[in-house]
Amino acid sequence: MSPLLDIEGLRIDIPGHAGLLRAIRGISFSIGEGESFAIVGESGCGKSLTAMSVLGLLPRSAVLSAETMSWKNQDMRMFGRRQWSHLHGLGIAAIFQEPMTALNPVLPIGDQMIESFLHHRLGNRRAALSRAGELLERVGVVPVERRLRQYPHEMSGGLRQRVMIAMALMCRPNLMIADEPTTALDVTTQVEILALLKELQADTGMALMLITHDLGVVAHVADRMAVMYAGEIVETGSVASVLTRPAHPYTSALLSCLPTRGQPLIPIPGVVPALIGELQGCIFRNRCGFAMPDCASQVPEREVAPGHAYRCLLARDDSGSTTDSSAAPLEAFQ
Amino acid sequence: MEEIQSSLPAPRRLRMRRALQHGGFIFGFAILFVTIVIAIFAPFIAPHDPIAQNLGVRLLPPLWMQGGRPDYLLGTDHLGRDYLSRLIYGSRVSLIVGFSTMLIAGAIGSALGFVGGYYGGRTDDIVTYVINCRLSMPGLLVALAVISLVGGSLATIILVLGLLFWDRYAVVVRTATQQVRNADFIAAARVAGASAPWIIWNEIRPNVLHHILVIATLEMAMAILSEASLSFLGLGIRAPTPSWGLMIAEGRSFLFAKPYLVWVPGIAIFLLVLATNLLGDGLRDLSQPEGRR
Amino acid sequence: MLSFVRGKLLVSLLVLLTVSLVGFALLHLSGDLAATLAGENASAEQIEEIRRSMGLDRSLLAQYASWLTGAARGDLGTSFFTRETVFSLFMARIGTTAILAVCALVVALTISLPLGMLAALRPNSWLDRLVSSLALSGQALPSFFLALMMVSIFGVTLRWLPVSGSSTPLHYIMPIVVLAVGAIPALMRLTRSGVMEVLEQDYIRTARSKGIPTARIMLNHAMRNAILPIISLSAVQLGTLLGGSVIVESVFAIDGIGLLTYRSIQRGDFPVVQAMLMFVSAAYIVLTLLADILNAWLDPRLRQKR
Repeated sequence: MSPLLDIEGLRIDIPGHAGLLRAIRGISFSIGEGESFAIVGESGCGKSLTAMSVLGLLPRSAVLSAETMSWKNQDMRMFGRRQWSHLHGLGIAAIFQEPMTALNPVLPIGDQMIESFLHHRLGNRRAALSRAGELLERVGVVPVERRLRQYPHEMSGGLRQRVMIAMALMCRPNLMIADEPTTALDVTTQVEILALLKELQADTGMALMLITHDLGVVAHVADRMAVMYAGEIVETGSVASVLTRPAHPYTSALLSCLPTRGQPLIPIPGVVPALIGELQGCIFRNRCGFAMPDCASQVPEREVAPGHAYRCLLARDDSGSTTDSSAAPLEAFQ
Repeated sequence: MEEIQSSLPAPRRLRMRRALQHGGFIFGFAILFVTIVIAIFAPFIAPHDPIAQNLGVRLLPPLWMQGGRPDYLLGTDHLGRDYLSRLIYGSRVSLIVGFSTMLIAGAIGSALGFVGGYYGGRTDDIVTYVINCRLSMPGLLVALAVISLVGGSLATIILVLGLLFWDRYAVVVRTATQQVRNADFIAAARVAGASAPWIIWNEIRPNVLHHILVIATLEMAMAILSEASLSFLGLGIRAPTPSWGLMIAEGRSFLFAKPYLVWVPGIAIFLLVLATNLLGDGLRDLSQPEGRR
Repeated sequence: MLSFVRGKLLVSLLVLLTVSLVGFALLHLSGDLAATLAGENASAEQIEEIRRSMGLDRSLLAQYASWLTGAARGDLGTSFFTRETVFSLFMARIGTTAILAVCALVVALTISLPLGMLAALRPNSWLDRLVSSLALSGQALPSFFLALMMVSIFGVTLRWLPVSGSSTPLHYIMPIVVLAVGAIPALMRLTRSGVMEVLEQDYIRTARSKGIPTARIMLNHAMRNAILPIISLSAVQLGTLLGGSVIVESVFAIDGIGLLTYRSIQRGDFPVVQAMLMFVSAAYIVLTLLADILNAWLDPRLRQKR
């Protein structure tokens, strides 16, 4: 079965005053129908940029190139304005980090919800309103009648994110991109929203592309994941495999940053390098505890298990990783 | 592993480079600089006395037109005065009015803005009220009426314009001060026992100075335009002192036959005001982090 | 909403009172009105005579009080020169000036809004540069110089348009253009920067991700938000246009309240000047108040905060 979204060798360059910023350097991933895929990384690693490139909403100055970039086997780079407009809402819908600002403050919720439904000619205004009502009911924003007439500032952040989710579902998309959907919310609301996303995914059979910095969220929601660092995917595989048997030193380091009972937090030393000019070798080597001279040249891609790959000189056997503390059981996140 | 950390230019050099790449800034700076030099050295540059009448050479056209003479490059006006010399001396009036008004209005407006923005509460209500009252008064009309009663002179114009056009400084400085007021370093100074005036002068002023500079250039342009308008309406600089606005008023009677008498000083005003505005815009662009406009 | 308006109204009234007092004081303290009226060759007795007959010998406060009680009843005094009431002088001319100002604002908005929006959509494009240059040039052009240039080109050289008076609609074209050019730069810049700021907002990204086409996003999402400050500025500009009519009306010899004021200033006709100051202030206050109300009506956040 061919994947819904297939990205290979994606590169994004952003020209700036100090030089060309090589923000994304040759990443590949694919998302199948109904699958939920997470991209994890620190802020600034390019995960949101990746999401925006899939949405076709990169900043104007950004330069994109890729070996493959296809949606249902169609080349997305050949998409014209009409095809993008069709893809948005109908094919891919998105929810964003800041529910406080992602809704237009001067328009009622109802108007904003039915906008894409009407634009894509899925029905008349009454049909649109009734679908909006159903969805609000489904995501728990009630009483529906009153909520449809309310403005965003009359709702809490959690409610607005629910509205965003309902709005994204209006046109029954095949893929929902959720860019840090719970980061701006308080912890209890986070759990509710994640549970809701998971339920809705099961109900509708849509695929989910989750962008987050939070390994806990990944463990909770995703099937497969990719770990991004400084514009590259350093490790990818099933969530269960990556979280229990992290192979890349960066993944291990990320895992040891998590609070686990009885163990001290280990921050990753050093800073992310400036992504300007020619970059060779492993991008993590200046912060890596296992760095060796050869890290500055070629870095091979290795497999831990089928579907679980990482980029590093160090070979890992199937049984474990170098730092024992990082091998946290999957249940710890849930 | 320093080879992946590409070196970034130092911020100061980056700013210099950006300033030199900013065409508008360079253009504005150059024109303003040249005008200032001309105004300062007017007696050495001007070929004739700007107020000496020579009725024998009335209404000579500029050099490039039929009948132009090389000793009167821009021709003469209806009283036979050398137009180039009057233009050169006229720059003095524009610049003096521009700079002095900027200083007076800047002092009043900034003081109000600092006080309102820093103290907040009731004090800020009063400052806001004063600004509102000022904004509600038609500036140019009040200036016209007052100057007509007091009598037009350089000092009157500067004083009246300075006492009137402080509103933008006040509005901008007030907002900027409000933004800085709650910063940690202000709180630290307060805890250390610094007095309010000391904090405003030593902690807040440096942080809002770039806003004041931008407004100052833009308001200087406004003041130059206002003086020209007042003088054009016959209620500003008195004849025979050369002022560009007055030159246009005098040349107006010859608009049909000798339009250059209006064009020449008009273009001078246009260029000077354009240059000052460009400088102000440039300063604003350069004081913003990513060179956004 | 009602209490919002009532509060604003109260402050506005207070501002108007203060402004009238300041204006009154400025006009009285800036010079000797009686001496100005009597002319340069008048004797001391003549000046005293005028001072008494005009009631200028009373204290400033007493004069202001009597002016204010008159003004409250709609009596703005009588012109020193024509002996007509200031009110009738104004009513005969206000229409002309209002037409000029409103037309100029409409022209300015029809040019600045689309150009500002297009410039904001494509920052640093040739169109954006053109818009910025236009704004800068317009800002640097003294209105009287632009007026004379237009007279020289369209009136004298090409003979397309009449150069002075207000007898036909053609007479209004040049004055309206000159006034509009004065209002365009600020409106255009605000539209550009406002729309640019709005376009960076998250809700625009949301709208794009829903597949809404650019034109609809501009009108339905961007302009609905960017229009709020533009409304406020338009109100201020309309007030400025009423005051700025002094220069334009005197260049084109249009008999509106601007020209009336200019002449009255020249001959020290104090009641007319005072009335004009009050009128422009009141117009400014009313217009900004209307803009505030309109904004509150358009922006649900303001509507509820009051």
